[in-house]
Amino acid sequence: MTIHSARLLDQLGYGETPIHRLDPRAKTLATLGFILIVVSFPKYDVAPLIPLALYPLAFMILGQIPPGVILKRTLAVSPFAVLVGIFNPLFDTEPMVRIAGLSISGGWVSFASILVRFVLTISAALALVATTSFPRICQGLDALKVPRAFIVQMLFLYRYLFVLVEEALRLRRARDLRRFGRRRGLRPRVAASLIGVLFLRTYERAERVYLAMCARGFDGHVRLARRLRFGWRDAAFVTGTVAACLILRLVPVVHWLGRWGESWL
Amino acid sequence: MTTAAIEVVDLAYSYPDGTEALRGVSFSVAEGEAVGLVGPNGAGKSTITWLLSGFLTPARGRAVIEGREVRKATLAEVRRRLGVIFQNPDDQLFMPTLFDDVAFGLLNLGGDSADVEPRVVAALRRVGLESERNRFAGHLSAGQKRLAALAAVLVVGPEVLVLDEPTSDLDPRARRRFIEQTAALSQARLIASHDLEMILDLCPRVLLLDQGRVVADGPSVEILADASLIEPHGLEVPYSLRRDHKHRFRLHGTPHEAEHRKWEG
Repeated sequence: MTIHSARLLDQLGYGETPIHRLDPRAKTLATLGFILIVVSFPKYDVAPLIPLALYPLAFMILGQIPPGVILKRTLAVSPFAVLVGIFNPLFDTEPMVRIAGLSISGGWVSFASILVRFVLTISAALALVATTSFPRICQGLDALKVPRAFIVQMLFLYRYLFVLVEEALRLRRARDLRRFGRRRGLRPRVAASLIGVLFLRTYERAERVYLAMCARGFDGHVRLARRLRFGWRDAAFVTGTVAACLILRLVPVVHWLGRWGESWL
Repeated sequence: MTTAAIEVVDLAYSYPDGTEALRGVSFSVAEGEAVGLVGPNGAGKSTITWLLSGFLTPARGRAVIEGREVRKATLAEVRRRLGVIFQNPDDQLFMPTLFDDVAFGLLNLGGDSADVEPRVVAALRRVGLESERNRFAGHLSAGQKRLAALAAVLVVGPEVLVLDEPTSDLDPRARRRFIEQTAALSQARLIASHDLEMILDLCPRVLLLDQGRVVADGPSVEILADASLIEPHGLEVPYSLRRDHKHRFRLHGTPHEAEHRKWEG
């Protein structure tokens, strides 16, 4: 993920839609529930998983997230899912279904199931990130009693990540401007000194940041204002999402739909 | 006798590498007074701001803020009364959102969340950033960052402000906004800068510093217009004060001369 791509995802999180305004705890809990339910489906289920795509889709539509943003990032991490599932067809060769005279082994079906689960869970997680600004996610985690040290660490990382990357880009640009096409021979040494300079600047910045914190009364404890209100909307969102997912998990909706379709034909 | 807002007596400081940054500086700033601190690079301007905020310990002499000498024991009390705006707003705004940043000092003073929110909002409203309160500090413009730093300092109600190069990276409009905000303050202000036009705008009185000594202390308009006084110390008469004497002399024989005569009739 390039810096621009990270920044785009980051900026989407500051939108103003009903989904953005939900309490981050509600969104995190609902997404967690969604992921657990998706994962709990039986090994060979493919079709029953499909309706669950409504959750990330609804998130994207109501949160006004361009579908490309989610799709591209899902694809970017898809090799992991392929790697996890690709051996299934090799080990599980028992024929399971026949489609148009072609017999498909259980391995291929479970592989397809893994891919569908992967797309569902990753897109749901991305949709959560794209509709919740990072500070709000941290506020949510703070309210969920995640240790403060972790949260402060993440907040500072987030605050200075872009600053540092920009610093590094400036250094690289300065190097490129005076490299005049020469590449070989120079590289490792120049790279080493760039990294060294970056480290020094970061170190100095850290010191200045620390002094700025002290100037405003920092005493070793970072205090955060609790500003979240878990309202009825948030509660309704969590219970609604989890209930809907549970229904899709426990009731063979797709099966009925298929039967209904058959009777029509 | 009323106490001065800032009282500096025979202040001296040498950096660990032996550089004598200050060699006995004395001055005082009255309540509500705005004083400019000018001088070439390395004159000791920043060292004074570090000493006033207690980050360095003087080798000799003392700094007194609102009747309290700056010492280890008084540091917390001094910093509650002294607001410092550092040169780089990225160092100053270390919390991810504007709200959290402005709340930081208040929470350190022991305010609780319910009490903090209205004060933070009021401070942001004062500098015109109320609508940006949930934004990520890294997404703000340079001008907004400066105003945010001002709000973050003002929110705890300091009686004295020290500003180090507050306009160095601002475009003219952002600079003007910052100047207007700073001019409207009632606190005593010590403003270190190379932006002499801004000093003229904000500070009726100026301290000229060079090689760790106060070279001149008096009305800004007189000192900054005195080329024979300030030029040996690396400064030049600001454009707005140059019009009649020095400016014409400077222009003589330059390609701009004819152009200027035309404009000035």
